[in-house]
Amino acid sequence: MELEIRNIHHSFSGDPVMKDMNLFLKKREFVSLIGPSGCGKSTLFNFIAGLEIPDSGTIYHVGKDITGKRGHSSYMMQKDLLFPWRTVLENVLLGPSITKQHTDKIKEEALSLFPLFGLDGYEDYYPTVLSGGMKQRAALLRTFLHNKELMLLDEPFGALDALTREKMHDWLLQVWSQMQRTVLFITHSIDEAIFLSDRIYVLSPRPATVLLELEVTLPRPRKKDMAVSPEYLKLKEELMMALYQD
Amino acid sequence: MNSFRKYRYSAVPALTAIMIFLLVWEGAVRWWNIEKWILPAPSLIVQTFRDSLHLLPAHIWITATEAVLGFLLGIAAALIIAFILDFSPLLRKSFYPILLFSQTIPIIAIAPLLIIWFGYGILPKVLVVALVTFFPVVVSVTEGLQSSDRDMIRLVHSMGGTSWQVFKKVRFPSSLPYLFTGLRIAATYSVLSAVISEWVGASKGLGIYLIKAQSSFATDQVFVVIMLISLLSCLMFLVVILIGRIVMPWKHKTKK
Repeated sequence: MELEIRNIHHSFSGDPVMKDMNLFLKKREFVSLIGPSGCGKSTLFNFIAGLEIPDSGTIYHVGKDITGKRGHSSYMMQKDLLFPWRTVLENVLLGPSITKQHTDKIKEEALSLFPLFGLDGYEDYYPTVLSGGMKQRAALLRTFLHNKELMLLDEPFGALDALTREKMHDWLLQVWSQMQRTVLFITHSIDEAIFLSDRIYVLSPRPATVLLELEVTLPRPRKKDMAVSPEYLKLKEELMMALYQD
Repeated sequence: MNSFRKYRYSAVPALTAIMIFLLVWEGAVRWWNIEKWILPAPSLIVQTFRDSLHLLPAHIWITATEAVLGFLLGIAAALIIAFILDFSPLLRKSFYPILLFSQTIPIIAIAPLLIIWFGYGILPKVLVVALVTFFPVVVSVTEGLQSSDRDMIRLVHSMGGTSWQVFKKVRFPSSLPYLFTGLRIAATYSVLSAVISEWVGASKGLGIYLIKAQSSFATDQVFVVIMLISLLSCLMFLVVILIGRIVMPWKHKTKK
C-alpha cells in the first residue's frame, strides 16, 4: 500500500472540517478525489505533504507513519508556482536542488523529458514567456523530477480553458503510463475524474468524509469516445447521485 | 539593439525640451541684460566650468568618495539589520517601529554631533550618508522579505526544504526587486547628503565649493556645482539600475 489515511478528524477553530476520513492508494494507482469546493480536499493534501498536522488520525506511507513529516510526496498546487527568477530548466530542477540530488545525471534526465512535456526549446527561458498550458506542464515536470513515488496533484488543470484541458488529459495519461507513479488527483470535474482515474473517492461537504468509493472499470488506454459508452454513463450517473444528493 | 533604438527615440522629445529651455534662458539673459550674479547665462556657466576644470576634480572626488562609501556602508548595515529583523519576529516587533520613528530625526541635525565625535575628516560625512541611505534600503528589504509568495514557501517546505533553503530559494530572490527600489531612492539621497554634510564642516568637496561660491556671489560657480551634483546623482542612479539588471536578469530578459 503506497498511502493509507486512517481516521482523520480535524477542525479549524472549533469548526469541524474533516470527519473520520479514510482512504488508501495502491502503488501505481491513479486515484481522484472529487467533492464540493471548500470541502477540505486541499487540507487533506496539506496533511499528506506534512504541511499541516491533523487533530487526530494517522497517515501511513508504505506502512510508515508520516503524519506531519515532509518530503515523502511531490505536491503540485493549483497555481503553477514557477519561480520567475529561475529559468524553466532551473525551475523543474527545484526538487533535486532541495534534496541535494542535483547531479548532471538528473539534469540529463530533465533535459530528455522536455520534449515529452512539450517544453523543448524553452529550457533557458524564464517562465513568463510560457503559455498557461506550458506553465502547468512545467510545474508537473518539476513535480515528476522531485522523484517521489507519490504525487499529489491539486486541480492542476483548473485554470486552463476547456480545450487545453482535454489535451492535457490525454497527455497526462501518456506521461503517467510512462513514468510509473502513484497519483492522488483533486478535481471538480466528474468527466476529468472518470477519464483519468482507476478509482474515485467522492467527498461530502464540510465536515469532509468519504461518501462513495468507485472503481473505474473502463479499460486503458482511455479514449475520448468512451465518454458516450453505457459503462461511462453509468459511472457518471453514480458519481452525480453521490455528489448532488441532498 | 531594438531596445536601444527605442530609448534613443524616446529621448528625442526630452532632449528637444531641454534645448529649448536652455535657448530661452540664454535669450532672456541677453535680452534683459540680467546681471550675471543674479542669473548667469548657460554659455557663461559652460565657460566657468571650463575655466575651473583644474580645481573641480579634487572636490568631485571627495564628495563622490563620501557618497559611495557611505552608500555602501548604509547598504551593508541595512541588509544585516533587515536579515536579523526577518529572522526574529520578536526583534522585528520591538525594533521596526523604533526604526520607522527614528526617521523623524533629521539626519542633518545629527551631523554636528558626528563632527564633534569624529572630527572634520571624511568619517562623519560617510556616516551621515550611511544613515540617510540606510533607511530606504532597510524598509524595502524588510518589506520584500515579508511579501514573498506563501505558496512558493509551502512548495519548498513540502519538498522537505529547510527554512534556510526557503530563504535562499524563495524569500531572498523575491525581495530583490524591493531591494533595488530602495537602492534607487538611496542612490539619489547619497550625493545630496554628502554635499549637505560638508556644509557642517569640511575643507574640500562640492558642498564646500558651493558655499564658497555663494559667499563670493560667484553665481556661475554655484550653477556649475549644481550641475555636477545632479550629474553625480544621475551616475549613482544609473549604476544601481545597471547592477539591478545584472542581478535580476529575469526582470528584463526572456532568456538566460
